[in-house]
Amino acid sequence: MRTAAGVAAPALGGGVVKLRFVVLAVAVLIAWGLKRHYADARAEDLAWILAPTSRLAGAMAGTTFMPEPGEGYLSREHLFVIAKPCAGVNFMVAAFGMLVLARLHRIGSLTSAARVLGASLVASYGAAVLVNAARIVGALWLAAHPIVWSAWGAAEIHRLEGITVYFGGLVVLCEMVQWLGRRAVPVGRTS
Amino acid sequence: MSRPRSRIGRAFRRTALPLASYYAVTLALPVAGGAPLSGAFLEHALVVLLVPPLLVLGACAVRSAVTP
Repeated sequence: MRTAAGVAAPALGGGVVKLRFVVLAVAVLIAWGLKRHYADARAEDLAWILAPTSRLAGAMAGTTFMPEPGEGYLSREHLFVIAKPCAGVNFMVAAFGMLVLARLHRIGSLTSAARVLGASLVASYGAAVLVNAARIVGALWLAAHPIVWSAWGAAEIHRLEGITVYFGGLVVLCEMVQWLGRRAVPVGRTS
Repeated sequence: MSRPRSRIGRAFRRTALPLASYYAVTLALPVAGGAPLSGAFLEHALVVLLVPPLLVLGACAVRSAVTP
């Protein structure tokens, strides 16, 4: 059997199909666990993602975000707080699910299953920090230039910016994964 | 007329997975988790539903303008 790309596709045994279902189930559990943790967490509990995001956003915007107990990370210079709702955990969950689905066809063994889950988790975390930092830098710029957007309210602009940056981030991440997949070994030759 | 249509179709096929992931986390999960379907949520949901496809269409329009 050959795929549209002309690559020989391996015959899918029942074991591989079962393994892929297990991987999907594990991915759903991880995503659910992340959402539960996010729902119950205080800002301090989210330091694992808020701290690197605030450091990166601060470096990109040329400002300093300091921990503010119970609030998140505050830039006194800009009077801007990176609070719990801005942590980017939802983006991380979306990116993680998308990456697992995008790489699911590559899973043929326990090793490749662990690799797909691990790489998706790490990549979604890195992407969440990077994309969220970019979104915060954009929000800082928009807050400093309110006259440009006077026709719309600040909340609407903040929401539109969030949707644009997060969705754009997912598209770019998906394109990168597809591009890396095309460069990698064909499906039939994975471990 | 078929060329812009096929370009738009291709763009939506390429962005289907990010779009589905985004909708799942921003809309499906909150609804499944019991988020109240208030007016504010429905307004937010409408914006979340409409903006990403509009961005895809905008990107197609820009690409068509740059590479006719």
